[in-house]
Amino acid sequence: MPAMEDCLTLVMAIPGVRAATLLDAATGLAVASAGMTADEAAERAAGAADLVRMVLAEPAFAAAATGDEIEEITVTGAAGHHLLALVTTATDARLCLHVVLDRSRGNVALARHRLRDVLRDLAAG
Amino acid sequence: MRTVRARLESLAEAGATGTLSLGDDGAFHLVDGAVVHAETAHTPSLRELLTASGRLTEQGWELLRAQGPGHGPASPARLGAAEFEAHALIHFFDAAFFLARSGHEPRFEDGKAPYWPECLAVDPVTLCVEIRRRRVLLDAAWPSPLADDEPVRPLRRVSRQRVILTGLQAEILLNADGRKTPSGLARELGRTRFGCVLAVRGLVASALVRPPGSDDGGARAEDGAPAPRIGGAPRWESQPRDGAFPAKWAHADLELLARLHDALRELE
Repeated sequence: MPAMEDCLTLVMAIPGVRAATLLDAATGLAVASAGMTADEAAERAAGAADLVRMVLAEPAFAAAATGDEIEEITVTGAAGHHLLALVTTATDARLCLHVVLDRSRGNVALARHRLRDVLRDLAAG
Repeated sequence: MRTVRARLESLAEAGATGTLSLGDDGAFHLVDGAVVHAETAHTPSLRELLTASGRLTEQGWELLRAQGPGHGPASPARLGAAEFEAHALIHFFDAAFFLARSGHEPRFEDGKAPYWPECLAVDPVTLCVEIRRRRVLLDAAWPSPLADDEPVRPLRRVSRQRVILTGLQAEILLNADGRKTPSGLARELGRTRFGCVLAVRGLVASALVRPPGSDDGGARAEDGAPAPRIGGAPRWESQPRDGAFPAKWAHADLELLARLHDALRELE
């Protein structure tokens, strides 16, 4: 999948990024990955999809009274950040980019900014 | 599933190129042992996924077929290359999941298979792991396959204070007319069939659609199929009608039958 790999190459070039997976959060399918083996990617994709589903099903996480579109989920640990950026597409592909960012080398604000550029290649609008 | 898996794995080892047909259910196409395309009429095609969902117009689809996906960012009129690949993969796994359930004896024909799109190559082991994972997901939502191919019949009244639905579940309830199956709804909405089946199992689990196999006692059209009702929810009587079952027969325990069916499937 050449174009997808180009996308992930751009993500891996963001300072501090250790690994990246593009997954379909609707099914937990790992669409493409970089920085880890395919087996690891499949396992992590399934776990990440569970988290996304849980957050989407939980009204407590909406920031507006009418409900809110979730754009990103961030999990911060002592050693690094996990950024889960959701791409809303017209089909039920609920694409999600899962990026692992090193805490000491990475910068969350910069990574988020650069991720938005990459996500534009994946869906219109 | 086991025969299909075994055939795919042996073909992968041999590095075969050709077509593994499963009767009239469809076929897997292989190049050098990797599965490059799953062809079946049982799931929405890539065209249906993209046009019925509103992602592309018919002209947009023709343009895509003629020129391939665009380079650079995606736009409303045109699919970006990466977006196209993601959809091709999602369509592939949807088709492969339902194709692998085929009861037909697999038959392999050597030769270069014509296929499109040309960006996929999935290892049969990965494919089988993914199919198995999806089956577990379905069973976790509701462990019975009975609702998978039955018309979706929403309830007319809900006796709870509030319910939480996914977007897809809401779409299914809004578009169900008591006649359309999850597969028909998937085509109409431009969704994957797996996604719809999973959503419907969730709806059965949260008791928002009538459990499959129950007689709704509602109006039926002349051909015996339930009459369509705009706005969903076929009406049904809460009182069981007299004489619906002969007295000497006990009601079949659908859940038990479904578990038995699943257990037998696992043994395959």
